[in-house]
Amino acid sequence: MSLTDADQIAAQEAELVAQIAAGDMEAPVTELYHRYARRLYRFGVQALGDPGLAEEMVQECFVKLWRTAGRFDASRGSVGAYVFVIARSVAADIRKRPSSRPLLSVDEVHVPPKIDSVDQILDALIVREALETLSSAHLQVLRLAQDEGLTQSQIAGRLGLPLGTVKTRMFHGMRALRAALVERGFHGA
Amino acid sequence: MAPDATPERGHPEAAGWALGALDPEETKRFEQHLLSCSECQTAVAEFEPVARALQHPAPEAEPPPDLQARTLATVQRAAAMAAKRPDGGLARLAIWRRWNIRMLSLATAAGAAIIAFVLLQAVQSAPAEAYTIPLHAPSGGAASGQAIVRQTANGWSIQLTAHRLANLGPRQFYECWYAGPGNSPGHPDLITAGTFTVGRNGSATVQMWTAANPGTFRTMQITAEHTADAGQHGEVILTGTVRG
Repeated sequence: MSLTDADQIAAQEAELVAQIAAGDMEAPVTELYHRYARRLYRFGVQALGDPGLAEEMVQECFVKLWRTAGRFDASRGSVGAYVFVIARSVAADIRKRPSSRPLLSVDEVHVPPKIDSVDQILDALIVREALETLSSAHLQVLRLAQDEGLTQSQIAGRLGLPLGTVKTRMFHGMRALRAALVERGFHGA
Repeated sequence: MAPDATPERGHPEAAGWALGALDPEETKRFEQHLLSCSECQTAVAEFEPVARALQHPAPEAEPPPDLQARTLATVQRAAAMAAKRPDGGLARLAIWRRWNIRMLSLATAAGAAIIAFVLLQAVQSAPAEAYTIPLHAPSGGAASGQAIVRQTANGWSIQLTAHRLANLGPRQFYECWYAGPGNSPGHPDLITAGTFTVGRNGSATVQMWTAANPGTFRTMQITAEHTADAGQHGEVILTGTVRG
């Protein structure tokens, strides 16, 4: 994505928030939902460890966005940053509520991997989104290496591919993943 | 075999090494090569942070398909409540009215999409666990229904059918609740599972999702609610407990 594209998207999203502030809710709220709901939901699952609470968080984020749209100042940051400031605050509120206790028995509750900070969660979201931009061929070899711990030779055997093909796919997959991470402002890539 | 370091091939071992995906012998050879190859050192420096990042991707979780409609309905409800307040102003009330009309068509479309999705899910996979909740009118009226609650990867899906319900007026809807064991007047122990409306025939077949485990929240209630109200205020139209 070029800087111009990023600027255009930022301007579009700022306009959507301005429309909400002016009272034209349905179309801009729907458009921002399409742009941010998946990321917000995953943030909620990661931050709260419960899909139901994540759904609650998404809903409350949009209510808060609607309520505070008039206070959004595009010169101070992007809509994306603003949405996640809201998400951080809403998640913290939900976490404090007694009703946020798990509804399932202890052995049924999914405990997410320990994440130290909101920034790490946001980085994890970027990684997931970057992975989703890869071709299936690239993603497949990276997953087999990362998730299953297979070596390139084992991957070649598993997929019935020449070893050289696996090496090339892994290399180009990593290169594409790095480019996608950098494009999304991932810290450290 | 020496690592292939030709620029057009782009040091393919560098990616495998960063991911720990080289065989032991190949790892030794590449590390020896790395000492003297600046291009491979550059490639490794680029790939190492990527490999570290790969260790902690966010979950692949997808928001449920009905969350958009529920989110819009939640904002809608907040708008309605704001419009009712003295400082909410007439402008917000006008906005709310205009939006409410649009929401009716959106809700209809979303309902159709949800039903299609649920039917597809039902064909494709067998549920891990399911509960049936027969519903009856506590007042002895003619309304009846049944909820089949199935466990999913992210909670519980509810397939609700209801018959002989009154067709409510504007800004009114039915709301489905789970009641916990401690629920009593003045001490609500309730979790909402969604809202719906019925057509002229008084019937509805809808799909909803919740995190509430029906093994714990064994009572389901269907109430008639008004858009301007938050929480459960309406009359209980149908009620039932988990069978078995």
